[in-house]
Amino acid sequence: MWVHRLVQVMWLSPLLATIGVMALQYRLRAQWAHRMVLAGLGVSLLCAWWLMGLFFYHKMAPFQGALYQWFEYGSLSVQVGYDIDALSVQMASMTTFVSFMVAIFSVGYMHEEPGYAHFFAYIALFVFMMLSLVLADNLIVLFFGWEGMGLVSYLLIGFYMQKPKAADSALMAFMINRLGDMGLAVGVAGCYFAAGSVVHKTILQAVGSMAQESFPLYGDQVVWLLPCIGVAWFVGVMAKSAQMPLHGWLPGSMEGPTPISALIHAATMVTAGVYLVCRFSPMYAEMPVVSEIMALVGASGALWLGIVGAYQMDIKRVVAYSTLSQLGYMVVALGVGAYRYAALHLLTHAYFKSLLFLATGSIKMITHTQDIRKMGGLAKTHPVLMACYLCGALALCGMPPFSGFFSKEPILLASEIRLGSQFGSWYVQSAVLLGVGVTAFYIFRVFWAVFFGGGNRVLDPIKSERTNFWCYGPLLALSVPACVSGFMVYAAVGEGRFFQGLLASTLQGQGLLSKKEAFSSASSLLWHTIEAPWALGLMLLGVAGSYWLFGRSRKPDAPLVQLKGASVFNGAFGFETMYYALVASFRALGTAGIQRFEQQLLDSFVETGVGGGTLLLAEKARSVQNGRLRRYMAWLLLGLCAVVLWMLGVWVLG
Amino acid sequence: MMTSGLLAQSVVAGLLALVGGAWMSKATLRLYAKGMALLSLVQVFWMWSTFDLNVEGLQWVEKWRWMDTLGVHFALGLDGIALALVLMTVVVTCSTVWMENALGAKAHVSIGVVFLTQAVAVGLFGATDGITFYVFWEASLIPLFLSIGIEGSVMRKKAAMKFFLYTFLASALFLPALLYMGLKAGDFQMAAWPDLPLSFTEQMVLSGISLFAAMVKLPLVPVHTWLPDAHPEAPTYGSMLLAATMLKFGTYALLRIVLPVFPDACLSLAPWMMGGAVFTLWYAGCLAWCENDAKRLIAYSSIAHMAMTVFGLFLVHMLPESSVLEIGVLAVMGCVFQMFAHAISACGLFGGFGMLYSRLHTRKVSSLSGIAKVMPFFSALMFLVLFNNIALPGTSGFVGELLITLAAFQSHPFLALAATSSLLVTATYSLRFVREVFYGPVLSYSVSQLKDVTLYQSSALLGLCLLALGLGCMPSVLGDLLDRPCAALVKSTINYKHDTGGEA
Repeated sequence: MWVHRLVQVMWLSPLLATIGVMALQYRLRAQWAHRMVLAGLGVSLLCAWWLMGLFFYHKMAPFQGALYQWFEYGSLSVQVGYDIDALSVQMASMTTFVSFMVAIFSVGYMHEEPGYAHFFAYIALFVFMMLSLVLADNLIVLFFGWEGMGLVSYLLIGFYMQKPKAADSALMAFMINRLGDMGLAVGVAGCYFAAGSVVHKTILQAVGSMAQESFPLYGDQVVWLLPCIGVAWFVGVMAKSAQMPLHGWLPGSMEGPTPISALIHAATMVTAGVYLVCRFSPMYAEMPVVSEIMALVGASGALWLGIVGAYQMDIKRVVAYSTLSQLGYMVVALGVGAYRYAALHLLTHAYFKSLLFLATGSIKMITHTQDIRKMGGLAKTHPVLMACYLCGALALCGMPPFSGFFSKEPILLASEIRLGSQFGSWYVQSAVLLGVGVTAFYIFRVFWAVFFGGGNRVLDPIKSERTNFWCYGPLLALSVPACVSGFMVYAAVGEGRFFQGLLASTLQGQGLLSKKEAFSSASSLLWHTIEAPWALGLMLLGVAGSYWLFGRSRKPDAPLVQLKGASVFNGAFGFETMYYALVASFRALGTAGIQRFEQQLLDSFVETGVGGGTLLLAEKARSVQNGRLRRYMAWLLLGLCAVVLWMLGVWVLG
Repeated sequence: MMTSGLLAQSVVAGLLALVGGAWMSKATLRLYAKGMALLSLVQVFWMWSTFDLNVEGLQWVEKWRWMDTLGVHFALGLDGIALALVLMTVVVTCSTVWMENALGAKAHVSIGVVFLTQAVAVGLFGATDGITFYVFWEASLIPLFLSIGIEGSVMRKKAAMKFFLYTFLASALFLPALLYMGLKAGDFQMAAWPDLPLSFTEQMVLSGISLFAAMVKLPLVPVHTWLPDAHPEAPTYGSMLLAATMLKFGTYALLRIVLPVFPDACLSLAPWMMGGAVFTLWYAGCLAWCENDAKRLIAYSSIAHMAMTVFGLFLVHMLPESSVLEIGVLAVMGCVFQMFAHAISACGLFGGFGMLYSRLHTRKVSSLSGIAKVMPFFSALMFLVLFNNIALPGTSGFVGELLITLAAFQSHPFLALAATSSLLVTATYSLRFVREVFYGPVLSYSVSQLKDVTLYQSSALLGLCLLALGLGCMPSVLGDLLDRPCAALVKSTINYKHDTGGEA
């Protein structure tokens, strides 16, 4: 029973912290907000580590439990339940660790900002929601976490709510995510239809029979159930995990405080879509066409959004586009059936990307700007910061032996194996391969521009001191998993144990067994690197190219902006503009069309009909009562005559 | 004596306030109103605690002879659905009375209207006799007509007339239809009507009449235009009562009379009604999105939400025969949850906006900005109410949406898509409202001078928020009440009498 208590404490302590801060925010001093939240998250983190130890060293079996029965009528039974297996423990420990570090960082970063208590309450609430998502044993609780995270994300993007841009970005983020929620909800309903249950396990057992179900569409045409769910959920994944063309909210989300970008918009929430597909990988393995689309969409994001990142001048937006590109890699992995490596990349990415983001926040605190053109020379003044940033950058590039290497290489390999008869596979493979070079290019562009050169920077000594105290701790702590987490998975835990329960690879069943062993051990991975030096070569090329362009001069914008067609990348293909234009045109249509129809046609029509008819009747009836006695007498006589005539008629005829 | 006790208490409370209130001071009147509301609440909780969940059918049936020649009784009785809606009514009354500045300048009129509306609602939800039902159905117009006519704003006369004419004329043929059924059955107890051997033509005509009456009350497009006109003119409490209680009468008529009594007609009308509901959802949602008058905006939001209840009810006819009993319960229960949740959000939105209106005297969304900066606590509560409105998981709104969506997919994925589109539509206008009113910089002097609400001032809003969260986290609180009557309703809904009733 005590393991159940452990899970429950891990899940609920962030929620308790939120409630505590919200209830007491007016009673207590601001410090208590972060104390309560740090305590809540700390407890949660310890529980998560404990569970991880139980799983990976004491070889505990997966188990399920529930808090209470939420709903049980008709044929629907929903528990607020949890399902603890390797994947959920991994996700939970990642979430709690990153969020704990981000919370510590925020103590320094958010110092004396208005809304300090709210900020910490939101972080804790977010962790609760994310834990609901990853621990859930059924789709309703998962949906709760999914939408709850969207809500917290909305509140935090709009944290500086006075700023119109922040408010607009928050709105757009929520709306796009809402589109995804719609998809997720349809998929949930589909699973319930197919399996008669919303519990993950039952649904996964029913995958075989689901493939046979279909709905009539028109004539003999039918809609197959499984692709229907797959596509609906992929819409959810596209919105939540920011895949093209629904990715535009993520760069906009950089309007929120930087620690939040690190936590929600890089490490945790945006990976929810990837987690969903991983969780339901046996189902997606049955959907070749949807997988193909996923690979194409993911590859497009991985390459093109990475290129857009290379054009950004705002240091936060570079990292944001980097997140988009890396999410693209994860979705490619899902699309080619390498679910394990999607999950692994999700985890390593969470560590190194939150490290990069927190380092970015530190840089912002030191330089008071987000424009990389105004930065430079931080290597001399802040060497530790540089070391941390370098760690993150190298991990991001996939340089061996940093963590990114162990997760990205298998994805490249998997997409290469996939090369064959599939439509557009040449595109997928070349995109992910070129993306490696692009990644190295854009991140080292920032690295050279910020830490080298002699930029006309402004340093704030006071803030720098606080940077030392609160910010270096999390940076250093996050550097550790950014460096070694990939290696540890293979060396200390073992891949099979780490991904216990997660589908190994669908490639095995498709006559591609010759390279199957490449997935099974770290040594063969290294062998692959030697076999295919392309990735490493491209990466080094990217680093060298960025040094050649930016490391020597102090103008990080000059060479790229001069290129032909640069404005296309600079403006991120105009997606954000397009969204706003779309909304504005719909709004205009609504106001000019429907509102006018409602008020000038429909309403006036009914009003003339009902009101006018009544008035007309009243007008006619009123003329009868004109007060002229002779008229009244005449009517009276007429009536009398009529009655007499009628009686006569009855008498004569009857 | 359970239902009639509450009914009598509401009538007496209302009349006392109307008659004697003019001689009482405002403070005394308010105290009186709160006391009476509490008394009602205690009664409902007493009813709830003594309600036998294992009994199918009506409980606490009371019958008084009324028109012997026709066989009409004044008859009351409650099942789980009715009890849930009575509970909703009393919650609405309480929040109206507690909401700061919700009552109008003539406090005795306001309080009279509040309790008379409660009486009408209790009578209507509890009516088991067709004529009793009709009496309350029409009587519901009077308190709100008074409220808009006496305490409304500038255009009150036109709005009151429009409101009255629409809803009155629409149900002009309702009484003959009810009489026809009662005389044919020889019994005006509505429980006996589902067994009537009505021909398909009879069903179509009668259901057409009743549907039209319900559609105007709900309201559905294109007979909805009275509602957006009535709300801006109504005082705050009037809007709260109208949206939270009176709109539910339409849905209630559907689930008490139309669906069980005319199964074959409903079967053939179902695609049209569901199509109309989805159209209404999008149409009203779009209008709410473009609307600049906050009260009209909330009115359109109400229309969109009520459309979802219609969708959920007629969904029962679209379900595959094999699973209709289990799944139909979900659809109907989702519909009742949607009604309850909408009562919470309509009360919160109109009441909360009334609090703003009493401070700023403007209804223009575009002239407000940055409220969250100056009134953070108030804004947090309003956010919660709006999140209930857009059916975020963990709030009561989500339960209804979820159940309807789950049930819709059983029929066809496209129906599920139609059901979930409400997620997108409601979010669009709700969050635009948030964006323009609460977010953004403080632009006007009057906004910058606002003070945040105190805990006492916001007690009603806080209560509504807690209720929304409580129901969202523990839907079984209501679900236990609804389970059996919903199952019974589904059974009579699909009890088709003719083979030619249309195609499933």
